[in-house]
Amino acid sequence: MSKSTTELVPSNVGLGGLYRRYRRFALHTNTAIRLGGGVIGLLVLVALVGPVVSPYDPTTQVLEMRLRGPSLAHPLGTDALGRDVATRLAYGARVSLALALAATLVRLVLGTTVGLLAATGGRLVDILLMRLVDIQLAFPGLVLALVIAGVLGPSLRNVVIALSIVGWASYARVVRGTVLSVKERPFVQSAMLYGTPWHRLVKRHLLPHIVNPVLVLATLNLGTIVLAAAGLSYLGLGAQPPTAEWGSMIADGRNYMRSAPWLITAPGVAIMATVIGFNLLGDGLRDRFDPDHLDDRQRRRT
Amino acid sequence: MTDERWHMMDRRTALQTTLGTAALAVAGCLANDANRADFRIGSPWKPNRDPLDGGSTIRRLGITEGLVGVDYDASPAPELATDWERRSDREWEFTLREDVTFHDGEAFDATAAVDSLTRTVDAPAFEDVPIDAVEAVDETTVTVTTETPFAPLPAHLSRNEAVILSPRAVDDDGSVTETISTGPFAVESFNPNTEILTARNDDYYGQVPALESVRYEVVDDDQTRRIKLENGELEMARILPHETVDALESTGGIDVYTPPVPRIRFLAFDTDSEPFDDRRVRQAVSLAIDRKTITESLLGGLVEPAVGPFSPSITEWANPDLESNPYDPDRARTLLDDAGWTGTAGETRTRDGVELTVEFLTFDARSLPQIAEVMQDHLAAVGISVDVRTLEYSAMIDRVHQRSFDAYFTSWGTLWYPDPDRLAELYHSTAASIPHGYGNDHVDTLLEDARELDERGARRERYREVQSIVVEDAPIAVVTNDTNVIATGDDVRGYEPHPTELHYGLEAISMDGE
Repeated sequence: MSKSTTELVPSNVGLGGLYRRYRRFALHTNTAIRLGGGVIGLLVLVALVGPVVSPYDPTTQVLEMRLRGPSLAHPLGTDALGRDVATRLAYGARVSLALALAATLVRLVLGTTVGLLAATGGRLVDILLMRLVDIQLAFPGLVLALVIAGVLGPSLRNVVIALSIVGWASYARVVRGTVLSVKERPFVQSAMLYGTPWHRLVKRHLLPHIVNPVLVLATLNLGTIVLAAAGLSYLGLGAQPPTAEWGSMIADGRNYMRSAPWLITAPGVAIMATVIGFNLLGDGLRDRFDPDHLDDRQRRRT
Repeated sequence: MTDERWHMMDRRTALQTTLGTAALAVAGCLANDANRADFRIGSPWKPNRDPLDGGSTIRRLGITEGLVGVDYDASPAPELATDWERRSDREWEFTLREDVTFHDGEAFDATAAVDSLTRTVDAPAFEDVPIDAVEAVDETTVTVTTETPFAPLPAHLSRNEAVILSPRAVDDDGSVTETISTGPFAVESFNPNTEILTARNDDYYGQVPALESVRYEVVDDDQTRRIKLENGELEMARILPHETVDALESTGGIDVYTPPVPRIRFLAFDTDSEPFDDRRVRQAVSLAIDRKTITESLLGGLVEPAVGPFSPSITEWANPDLESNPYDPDRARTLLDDAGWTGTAGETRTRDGVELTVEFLTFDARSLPQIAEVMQDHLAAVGISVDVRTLEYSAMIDRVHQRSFDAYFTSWGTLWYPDPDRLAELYHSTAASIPHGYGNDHVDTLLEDARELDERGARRERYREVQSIVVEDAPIAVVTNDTNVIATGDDVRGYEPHPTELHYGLEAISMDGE
């Protein structure tokens, strides 16, 4: 009896399963994954190693050296307070990546929980939660984030809070949809007939199926969060001086756009590369995990 | 078939061409409209019809005039009043200019002046000015009585709120429908918050302007103002960032003016709460800031470091004995040690286990956040850890008036009216508009005495003493003066920046080659 139940459980649970999945995954990567992964890998490398190897401090001001163009000593020049732009960029990568990861994690946990509750709870719970999700989705995210960050006051922590509060609804949607379809499958039905407790049902039978779509969504999400966080910092709601952050670096360099274009170019390109990297990675992962997915153009053609 | 297709193509092309031409024509009309004026000014400040509600722009454009003006030495000077006399402690008599008409043809006389001034005196803007009554004696004489002896009265009558409007400009309910005054330019069209178009007042009693029409345009963004000037869409761009001066000077066809203005950047401390309730800590902050480095590097050497509210180069009320850069980090360290804040070099000082960490609030204008960042650096060197927090201006003012702040870094015009009584708004224990909580009886007495006195020398002595005391007491730490950066096309002649920015002096401006 117990043997047949184990067979009904997807094989990718447990350490061995994860490893097998990784092997399969490594064999089936596509260009988008490799390219996006490369960009993001490079970025992570810069964030980890950059600050260690740089001879400069990101906050120490050397006013005699202000607004110097790119040179050997300062490959990306110096800013209005004489700080090395390359060093600040590397420290900024830490801030941006950590912030994006933190906000995505909160969104993911919050959204998945709500989605699971909606799909497995009663009808009333489902209706209530999903209307909440609808309201959330109907609201322009960045505007809401602006309001929240504005009310809470400017700081990086509040940016994480603001961006976490606004973005979880799409996870709830995806999780609920997937769970609803999986719930009808025989292995779940029989597990339910056996009286498997809720937490066990969710852990063994439902969660493994929502890992893929949620992972894809999270990867695509990281890019937008980096962008939104930089936007909030640009508006002065995020990182406070002297913290190096890409958005505030652009804001600081704005007045020198003509005389010192490197001040906005460097963080601008960094933000662009990060967003493109995460998007490529997300697209690639989707193609890999969800080969049946049709993008909008194909759908219209059929 | 082919014939029909050809027709189809033709119709589409015709439609496209028509649309294109129409779009071009509309664009052309719009562009023409914007370029109608002889002289175009771009500035960030939004104008308003009512002088009581931000009347600086209409005054600067030469539309409105007051009884009293301000001369190039930043002192009160005749404008619509040719002369005034302090008849007794509390009574002033103003003699009005004769044969002056408003832009709408009405005659300017004592009745019109009294009506207009009464509206001003009753307004919140004049709440703190102790005016008792404004009365017309005859056609050309107006008396003003004050509740207390009040020497700064003429200076207050030079304020932008105290300009004289035509009786027809004000509705029955007291709102201003049209800005009609007596200045060298009259309003042609007025779009609040975006633009004003003015035309020369040919009946002006003084120098009739050479320019026929002037257009004032609100251009919020610094870079946009600069680009518009460079593209020839403006003749004058005001309040440009200090960083642009070098680049503009090397651009052909543009003249740059950098007049010092009576404006200071300062840190105001909350003297009621830790750690700035201790005078020594406030002094230490002031001593630890290297003002010269800030002005020489960040502000491009265009701005003077300052320690007092008045600059000797602008007004004689300034105390010339104050040292402009009292930079002494060693003394700052000693003062902090004395105050009980101790620690090893390179680390934040502590007292009874509490770290000496303070928050500086500021807002994003006039390079304030950048300067705050440099001060953060300078203060870290003596062991004070500073969090700089850049807020919206209104959010900062809210926080400050709730008294939930350590210190805030702001910018303030010191000669909004050309009288040193303005110091009372900085330092008086009850009259101050800066919520620092500071009070010093001797300072209060000096300020109150000087406000009543008539003799300039006696007043000057008191105001200079106040300026010396407050450097020691340091309820605020003045950091720099300020300089406006104004750029014009190089064909603009006769522009002379006014020390208190009361007006742009447009009546004296002419264009080359016209």
